[in-house]
Amino acid sequence: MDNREKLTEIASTILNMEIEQIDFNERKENIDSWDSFAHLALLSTVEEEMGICIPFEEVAEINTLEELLTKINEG
Amino acid sequence: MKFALLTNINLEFMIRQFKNSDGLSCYSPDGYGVWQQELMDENSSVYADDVDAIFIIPDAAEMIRGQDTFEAKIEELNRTMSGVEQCIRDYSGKKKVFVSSIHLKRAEIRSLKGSLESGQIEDRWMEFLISLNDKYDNCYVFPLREMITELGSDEFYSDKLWYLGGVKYSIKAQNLLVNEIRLLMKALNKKRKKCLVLDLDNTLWGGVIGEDGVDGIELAEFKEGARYKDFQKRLKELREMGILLAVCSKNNPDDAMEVIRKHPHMVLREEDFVSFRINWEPKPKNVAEIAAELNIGIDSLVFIDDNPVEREAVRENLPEVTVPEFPKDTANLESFTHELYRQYFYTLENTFEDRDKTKMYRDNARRSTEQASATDLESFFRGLKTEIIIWKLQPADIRRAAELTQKTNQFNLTTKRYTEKDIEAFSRSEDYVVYIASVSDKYGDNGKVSLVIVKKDGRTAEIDSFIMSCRVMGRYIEDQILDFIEVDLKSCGVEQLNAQYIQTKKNMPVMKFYNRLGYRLLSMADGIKQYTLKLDEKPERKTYGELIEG
Repeated sequence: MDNREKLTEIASTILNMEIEQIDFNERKENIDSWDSFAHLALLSTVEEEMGICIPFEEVAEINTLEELLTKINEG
Repeated sequence: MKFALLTNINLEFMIRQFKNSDGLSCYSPDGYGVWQQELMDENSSVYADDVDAIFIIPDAAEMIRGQDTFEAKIEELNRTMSGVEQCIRDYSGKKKVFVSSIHLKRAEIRSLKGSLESGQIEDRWMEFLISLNDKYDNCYVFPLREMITELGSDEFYSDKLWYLGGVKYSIKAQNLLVNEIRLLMKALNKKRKKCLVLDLDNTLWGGVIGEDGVDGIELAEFKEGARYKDFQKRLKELREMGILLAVCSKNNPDDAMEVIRKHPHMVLREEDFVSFRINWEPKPKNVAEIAAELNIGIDSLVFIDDNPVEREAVRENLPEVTVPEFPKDTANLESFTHELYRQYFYTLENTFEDRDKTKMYRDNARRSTEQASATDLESFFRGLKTEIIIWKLQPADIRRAAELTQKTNQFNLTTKRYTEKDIEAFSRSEDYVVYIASVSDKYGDNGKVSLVIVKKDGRTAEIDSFIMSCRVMGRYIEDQILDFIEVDLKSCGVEQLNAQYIQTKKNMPVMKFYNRLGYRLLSMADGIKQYTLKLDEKPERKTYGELIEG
């Protein structure tokens, strides 16, 4: 499973959405279930399950799944 | 089911998991500082009727936040304790209350000598929990500290979540908590499975008994063989908790039972199992039979087998049976039992009956098998090829006849002892008929084993003595002998046959002999029963051997 697929799966669980509904370019303020709490849960789950670290300062900068994926791919 | 969760930290991620879940819902008050207030409020939703259990999972660091000295921390701890205890005592009623152990994340920088304070605080709380556990039947310890230690505190706590959102535990940790609560609620709901069906080769021991032999299999106290011995030790503990163990193995039964009975390192012995299916039949068939024999639902079985083909066969044919994967690495067998226990057999507390449950089920199963195999018993008797030869006493039989009256205690209806002279007198008398019988079967000749003395009086006759050696008891030979005598007497003009049972200390086995054979009980006094039978009404009797008049 590549990073995009893995992230799609995590996002689907945390944001409570079907896999097909996941749009990597949609901004978080346009997704109802992506509240501040979900934001934390999403980033933490990504960190814990994909073994990467998103520095504290960058957490707030992430607005779309695509941006999150970029961070993941940067390692 | 519903539970209430009280905590002093943000466990929102965990609580959300119960929002759209399978029949398990969670009430947790808003705001993290209010858990003690909620607890003290008799009218709180925590104590609502539909709440089955209350989980109190406080974070230790938050509990003592702001207290600078050790004494102040302990004082705060004590205050919390008395509040918690009061609620359990006064408000919890029959609801189960799970209070967590606590863990202090090592944050302060201290010298080695000065670093023991946290441990002391944790221990102080633990003592409190132990006293709650002992004092209140409805109170249990929720193993938070153990969970943190097991996962490792680095992974359990998340500094980033804490600073970003006031969330103390990592997502992974909160998922563990969710699982633990689910398991406990399941245990509370008494949804546990009843029986663990176990394979033998490469499951209870290493290797294949049919190929490696008793000395070749892996089963020992130390090193390689200890994988299996430790596995068995834990299974035995499950048995003691009332979980039934059964064997389902493709093997030669004699080989397998030899290990179970004689191998010095077998922990589980014959009496630990409730049922054995050691044969070459398909496993799904055996598993279904075990459920039927024990009279338990097929969905209360958990099937353990190292062979993926067997697991698949059971899954395929008996989808109700739970079939967990077998550890790929047999070094994990012992931890596998813990997983099995948590997933399928988690138990809040043991009852006294649990220890004896195996025996209870075994006894019940045995009774029903015996009934079921009554037809087998019949073919067994026929297979013995019993041959009974009966004749009227000859002078050569006198000594043996006297001996039978003197020595036979069990199958002796009247226990009258006669000398050779007495016997001789009977055989000369017109009023007496003395029968003697010998019995042989495919295993050999038992010789003269039965003696019957009948006293005639016109159209009536009385059985004075009916004796048979215990060597041939329990094979319905006596039925056939009596049947012959009845027919013989009838042909001599006898219409009514009377009989007696005189009770002694030893002849209990034949107490119901005449009842069983259709005689009418006339009277019963002082251990003497009088019977009679009209020979015209003689019942049909089942016979197993061949009877020859000699």
